[in-house]
Amino acid sequence: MFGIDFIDKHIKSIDKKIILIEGVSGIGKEIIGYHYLFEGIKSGDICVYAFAGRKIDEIEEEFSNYNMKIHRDLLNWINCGIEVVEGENVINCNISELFTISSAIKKILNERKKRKVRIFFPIASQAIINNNSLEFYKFFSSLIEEIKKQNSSMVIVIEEGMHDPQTVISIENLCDIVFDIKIYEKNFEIVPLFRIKKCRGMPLMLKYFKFKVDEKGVSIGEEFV
Amino acid sequence: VRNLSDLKLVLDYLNFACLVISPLIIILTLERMLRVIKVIREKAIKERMFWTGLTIIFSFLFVEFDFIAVLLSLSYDELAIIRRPVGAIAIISFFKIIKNLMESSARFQIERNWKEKVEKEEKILLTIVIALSFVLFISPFFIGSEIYLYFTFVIGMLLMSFLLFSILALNEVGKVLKDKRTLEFIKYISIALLIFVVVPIGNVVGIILNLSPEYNILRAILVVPYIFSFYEASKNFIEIRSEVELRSLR
Repeated sequence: MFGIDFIDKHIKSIDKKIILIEGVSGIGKEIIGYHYLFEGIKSGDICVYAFAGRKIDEIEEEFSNYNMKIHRDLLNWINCGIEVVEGENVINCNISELFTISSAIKKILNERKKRKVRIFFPIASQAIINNNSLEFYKFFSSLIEEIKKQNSSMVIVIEEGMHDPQTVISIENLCDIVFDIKIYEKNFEIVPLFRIKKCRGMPLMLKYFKFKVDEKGVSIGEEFV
Repeated sequence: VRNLSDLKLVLDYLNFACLVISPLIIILTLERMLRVIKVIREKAIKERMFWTGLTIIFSFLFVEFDFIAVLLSLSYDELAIIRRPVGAIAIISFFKIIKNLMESSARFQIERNWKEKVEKEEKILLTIVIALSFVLFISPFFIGSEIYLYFTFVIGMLLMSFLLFSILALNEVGKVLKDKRTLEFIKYISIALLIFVVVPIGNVVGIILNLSPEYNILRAILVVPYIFSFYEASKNFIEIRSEVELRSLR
């Protein structure tokens, strides 16, 4: 599903529809989402990228920085930023009006013609800040229902520490799988760590594993002791 | 302290202690930053770290020149040709840190009003920084003339404006970027900025009133918390957990 051996092996048996990635800013959470979309393009799925305050060219370049060459025409773009972005496969929405985003996603889901849809939503924190937790919760839960009905999937990203714990827990509870990325320091070594915090129907993973990002993208290594 | 010469001796010891302690704190800070930057993927945080590093280095040079001036009993003017350009670079780096935080806030608060507000504040700060840097770079060439005192006064005014607008901007940023680490970073950068502005304003007063550098006890006392606030700020670029914290999360 992600093209990352460790993750694919561990979530193989789960009916994974909604995946949440939470962690501190700047560590490379979005790159997991790039893998998810890149794998989707390879499998012929309809791939959707929601973004705000960035240019499509920049995102394309980011993909290629991690050895995932894509062309903008291969993705459907949902622009939630202030500036309008022109393009056939771009839908312009307003992040302060969440219904515009859910309508755009539902439109894509309804036009899928039996193909699976993969939605990458790395702007959950922005959506919560520009609205409020309750509105986001309503938007997200109605979206999940629709995505599950249409046999599709979604990956969302949330910044750690930006929202009150109650909001984060309620979002976690809506998701099938939760990835957790932390940075840890031991003996002058700074190590990013990864674990699957929640997995529907599976026991919690208590161990952390080494998380590495290089020009080949994300790789998850041995257990961190 | 029995008389003025004893006071000078105490101040010299204090200055010397700061001269030794400050570089140690800076080395520790920069070393840790170099380890952290390796795991950072986001350009904005990398930039924030780069400008913080540059601010630390140039602020350090700026205050070390002050220590040397005090220890060698030089007048403020004698080192102005080095101190002022170094101070200008430190101010530019401070501006870059504030700009970076403002841009990060605009990435989260996606509203036209917010964007316009951020752009307006950025323009005001940029204008102050350009004027300040210009005066800081050219004023040492006028030492001894009447215009030098005028330039010194302008520096003081511009520094106060820079401090005021920066604190206002950082306060706004803190309303959007509410995570603990960013708020701590903003807090310590504000403290560093406050000290950074208070110290040269003390110098400006010293130059205008023609005071001897030995009287500037405030500067020596403030340098350690100044460098320490950078050390604390550098711990807050990103959340890094210790073993105990990690265990408690399991």
